Amino acid sequence: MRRDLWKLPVSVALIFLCIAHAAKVQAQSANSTLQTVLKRGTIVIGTRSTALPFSFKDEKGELVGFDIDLAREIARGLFKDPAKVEFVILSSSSDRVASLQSNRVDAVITGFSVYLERTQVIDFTTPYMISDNIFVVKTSSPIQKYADLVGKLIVTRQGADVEALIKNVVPNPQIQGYPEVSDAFLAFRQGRGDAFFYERAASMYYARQYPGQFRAIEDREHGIEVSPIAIGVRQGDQTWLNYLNWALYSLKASGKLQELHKKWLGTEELEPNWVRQPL
Amino acid sequence: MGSGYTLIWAPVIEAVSELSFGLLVTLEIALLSSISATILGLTGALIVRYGGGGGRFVGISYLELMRNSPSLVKMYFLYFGLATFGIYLSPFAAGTIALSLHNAAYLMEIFRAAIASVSDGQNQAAASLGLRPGVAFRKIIWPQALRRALPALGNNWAEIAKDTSITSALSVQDFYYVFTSIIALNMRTYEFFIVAGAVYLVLTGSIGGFARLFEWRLSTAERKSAKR
Repeated sequence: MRRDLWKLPVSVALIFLCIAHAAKVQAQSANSTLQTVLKRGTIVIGTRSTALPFSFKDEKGELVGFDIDLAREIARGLFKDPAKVEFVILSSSSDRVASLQSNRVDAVITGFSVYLERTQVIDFTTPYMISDNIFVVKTSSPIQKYADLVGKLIVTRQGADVEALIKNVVPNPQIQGYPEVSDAFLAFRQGRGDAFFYERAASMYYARQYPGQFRAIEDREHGIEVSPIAIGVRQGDQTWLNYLNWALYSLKASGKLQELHKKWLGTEELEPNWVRQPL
Repeated sequence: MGSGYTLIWAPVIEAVSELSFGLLVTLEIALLSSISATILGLTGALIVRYGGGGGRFVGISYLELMRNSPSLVKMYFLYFGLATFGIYLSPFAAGTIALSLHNAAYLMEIFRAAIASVSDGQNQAAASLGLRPGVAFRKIIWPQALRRALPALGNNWAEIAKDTSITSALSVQDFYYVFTSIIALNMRTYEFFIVAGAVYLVLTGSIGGFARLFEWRLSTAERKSAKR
């Protein structure tokens, strides 16, 4: 028995080698996702069910949001039928890239912010929205500007992406992150932190549930860095990427994209410049 | 995997110090929870064994209460639930207490079974030699029970070490929290999960090794005393 002990580490190493090898073998699949999608007759979209206002469950438990409507419009462009779309719910934000790389989805549409680090791993389309983040505090809080947040505990969603945004406006911030945004807001509401930081539309949605109790900090002198939001696709599939870019362009040309902005965000302020410009 | 994905390790190497801090928190929680769960579990087993009908009732109630809800639910209750009553446990405390209470139930059963497995003839023999019950337990029953319990104890300790990852739901910055946070920005999911898998393997592997070593020491000690 004791003599066989070397087998364990060797077999573990073999398993890891297989995973690494699989990554290279599948890399050689030549066909574009576009052909696969057209042949299949439906498009498979990876999305989250907790990302307000992008993709979330409404009171009836149905998946709704800006990104859900956008996916249906893309299906309409492909098949003349907005119902020809199948949604795969991603359980965590780290699942967004893994679902593409493991070929489980054709594209990820779920408030996907574009960062340089991420574009090294997957490809992004032209942005269809600008992500805007805000700080929310209790109405009675003395905090008025970002400078007042120094040394205060900031509650937010867990992730180095969100932390980087905070660090741009608050030096050496104290951050408490939760995997679920709803948990982060609950902790903030229970008084565990001095401020809540997240995507504007989602933050305002949470704050609206408790009228008069919370307010956003508007510090016009110091802007929080905005990030473009785009559709994520597998790296190296230029045909598919081109198709989705033109699909977005045609949605802008028909005015549908602007309609979605008004419907889900109540404003066209978060449209990227190319959407606002005339053809 | 999809087209063109190559594993790149530089982001993992850059994160080594951050990951080490997380691992330290994981070790702290694992050690604290294992020790307190073991003490609680042993106490529970003794109460069930020697506490009469009342002790058995308390023990079984505790077991069913703890065994029939996930440790994550206990963490939420301790962290968010108690806060509504004005009791604010820190994320670290809520996580550690939940893991201790949860696993104490399983450890209680392990100890109870191990003590019960020592034949009653041993107790009778000790009594006939004039040993008081307490001394008989410490000198005769316990050493045999502990050796029988050890393989299962090792299992449970390893389980606790892995379950530390659940505390990240309460914003505890353990190993799991740290590497999933980094993935959220750079999306190097495969690289970080491969490394994390290896780290957890080494962690639980060492715990298993420790339990086996302990068991081996106990059994050689017994063989020596048997020769004498």
